[in-house]
Amino acid sequence: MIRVAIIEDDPAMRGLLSAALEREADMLLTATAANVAEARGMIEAGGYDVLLCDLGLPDGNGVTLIRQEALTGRDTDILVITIFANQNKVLDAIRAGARGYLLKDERIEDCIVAIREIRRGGSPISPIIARQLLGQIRPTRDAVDPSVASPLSEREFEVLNLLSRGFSNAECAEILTVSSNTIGTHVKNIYRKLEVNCRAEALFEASTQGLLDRR
Amino acid sequence: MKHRRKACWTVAKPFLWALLAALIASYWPAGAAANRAAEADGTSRITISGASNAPVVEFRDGDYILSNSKIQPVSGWERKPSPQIYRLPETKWRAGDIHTLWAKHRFDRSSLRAGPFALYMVSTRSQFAVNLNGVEVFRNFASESDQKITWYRPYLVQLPESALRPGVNEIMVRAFSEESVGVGRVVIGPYTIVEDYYTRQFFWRITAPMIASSSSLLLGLFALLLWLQRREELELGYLAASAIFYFFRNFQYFGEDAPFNLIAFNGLSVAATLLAMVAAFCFYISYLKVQRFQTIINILVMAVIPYTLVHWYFQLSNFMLYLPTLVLVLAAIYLGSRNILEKPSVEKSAWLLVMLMLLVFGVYDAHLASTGYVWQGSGFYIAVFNAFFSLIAFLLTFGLRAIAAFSALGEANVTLERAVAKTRAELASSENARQILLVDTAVASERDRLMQEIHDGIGSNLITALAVARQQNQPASTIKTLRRALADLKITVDSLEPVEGDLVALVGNLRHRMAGDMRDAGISCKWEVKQCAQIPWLDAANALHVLRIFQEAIGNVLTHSGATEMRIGCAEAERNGVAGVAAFVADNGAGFDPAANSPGKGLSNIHARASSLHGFLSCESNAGAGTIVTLWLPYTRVIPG
Repeated sequence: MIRVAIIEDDPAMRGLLSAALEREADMLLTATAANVAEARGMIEAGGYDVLLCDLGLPDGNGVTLIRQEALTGRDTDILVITIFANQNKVLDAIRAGARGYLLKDERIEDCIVAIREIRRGGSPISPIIARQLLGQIRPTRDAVDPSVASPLSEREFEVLNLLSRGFSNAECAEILTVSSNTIGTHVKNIYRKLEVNCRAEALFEASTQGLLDRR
Repeated sequence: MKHRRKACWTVAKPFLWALLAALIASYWPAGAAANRAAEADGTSRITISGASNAPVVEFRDGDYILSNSKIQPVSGWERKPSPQIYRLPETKWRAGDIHTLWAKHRFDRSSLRAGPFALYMVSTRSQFAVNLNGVEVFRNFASESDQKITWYRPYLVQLPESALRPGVNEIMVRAFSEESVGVGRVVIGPYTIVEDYYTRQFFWRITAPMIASSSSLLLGLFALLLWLQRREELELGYLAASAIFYFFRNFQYFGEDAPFNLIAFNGLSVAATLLAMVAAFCFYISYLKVQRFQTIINILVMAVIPYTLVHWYFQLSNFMLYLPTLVLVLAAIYLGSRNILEKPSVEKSAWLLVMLMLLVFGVYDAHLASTGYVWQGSGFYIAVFNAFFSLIAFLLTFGLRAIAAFSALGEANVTLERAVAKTRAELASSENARQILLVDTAVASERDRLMQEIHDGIGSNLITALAVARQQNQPASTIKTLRRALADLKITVDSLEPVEGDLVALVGNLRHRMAGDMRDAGISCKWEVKQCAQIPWLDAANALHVLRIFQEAIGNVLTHSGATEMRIGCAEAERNGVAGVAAFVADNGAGFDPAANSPGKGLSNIHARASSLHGFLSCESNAGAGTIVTLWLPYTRVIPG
């Protein structure tokens, strides 16, 4: 049973998702929130496995909610609900702790598939986002050994490289002779590393700027 | 080492030659001399030299008397050798008391040939008058109080021929002084020959020392100026003091009138010898940076001033002043030689040479002074010419320093200019970068604003409309149109993503976007990309053209071809010799006959986009053999006009 909570201000979208989830035997809608204020209480209460979260909420940015959820340390998979999956929004969300995204215009069956997929351990990625990650996690392309210069493993780097060149998960799997699920897992791990990286950087910056009082 | 020795020799050579020449030239009166015994008729013993038809006569003895009488004394004359000098330290006279020495030289007119004649006199001091046969022919003073520095100055006295008598003639000299008194060498001969000798002696005794002393004074003043500017360089101060003392000491060689009281002046002149040497020694050891030189200098200065005062007050002999001078010269030579053996240099060699010359010239002059009326030597003193050596050493030392400083300054300027130019270039480039950053930031923020607008406005509305349409089971065409609008919007958004000209990522993203549509159409897709370089000119506007072309091509495959499989890919390809990338969409569908069919609206649209990209679009199809649409883009665009 996959327990799902939704944060979405558009009632039509929320209704669509709720209805679809109720139709699935292995899924349970536990809570919904329409704005940041409601969502804060909902996140505090917890009790779900997957959190679907819109970014443009009427009283704030969904990214802060994603960070709140991520900081609880629960084993929750967070999916961003987005219209375009443009890299800025998706990457901001991933840095905050999200592990994937749903496109608002996607057919609802595909959304259900994506929820199952993320629970199984696989994350979606687009070539442009993959390309952006390559540039960000491994900023020095001249590094002799990418595994040293970046937190990415060699295999993860390979996966990211193939994905950025437009290969689908299935094609990557074939090229690397692994299963398609494995590719999704790699992507999810890459996302996690990006988040950790980003948090470490923020900590480092805060400490160097004297914002953190280290007693 | 060798070239340094050579340099010293080069410096010293002209001086040594000049000295040698002067010595040879000055021997002339003594050369080829023949002594003649004194005559019984009271004439002086004489030495005759020169040609037999123009003999030059020098008196070897005469009749002398010390008497302050204003008229010629009648008795008490004594025959004594010439010259006859009464020097103050030996006579124990009190300075300031006037003493007068009378001297008479008789000679036979027959010793001489044809006139006109002249007298050459030297070492006669201080004021004196010359009578020929009772007629005054010369005096060097206007009044008796008119004191002169004459002991070293040569005099030329013309003898009127009419005053000469046949037979015995008499030359009488009356010399008086408040100090040492004496009648020196008296030489008589043909005017032209004596005048010539006088001119040469005058040059070496008066003119040359004047030049040497003046240059030394100039050097001293220059060093003084330098020292005033750079007080920490004490050696410049010592050098200045030394040069000024030497000038004062040497003034007696060329000055005719004492600058103040003659007795005081003579006393100070002697003392100045020691003071100049002390200053020179101080300069030398501080220049060489001899161990604890400052202490040595302090002790020396403390000692020399009372010593000089004591010497002057008790009128000690000159030897007591020359002895410490000699000790200092020897010490300087010892220290200088040791230093040069450790760290040789041209400048140090020059200064050591100066010290050596000080010793050699000093010993020579001392010898000449003590035997001056027996041994003539060069006939003049030479220590004063050491000023030239000092000048050369000074120019070498401080000239080389100045040259080094100037070139260092020049280099510093060049370095500075280079640094300024570099900084300016860096500033310009950072300003440039700042401008670019500014533009980039503005573009990025504008893009973000537009994205937000599209996202929250059109995007949201389209999403809602689509959701509503689906919920209300609107006709498929409505849903399709809405989805198409959303897809177009997504592609527009994608075109704005910064991909830095990465065509593969751009097309890959499109394929990712359309993966659901492909799956719905039941068409599998093969991705056949090869490694391609980035296309630098592929900005957002051009990216949109590329995406629209591929959207159209893929859309055609999905809707019209009836294919089961499509291939999308790209590879580097040359076209008419221009490097570029060829990207394609191919299917295994029904195809069409390009000749038969007039190109549809979609096809002509993508052709137009391709040409505005300055690329090339080809569409190859055969009925039953599928279609391949290829877009070729150059790496660098040459846009005419």
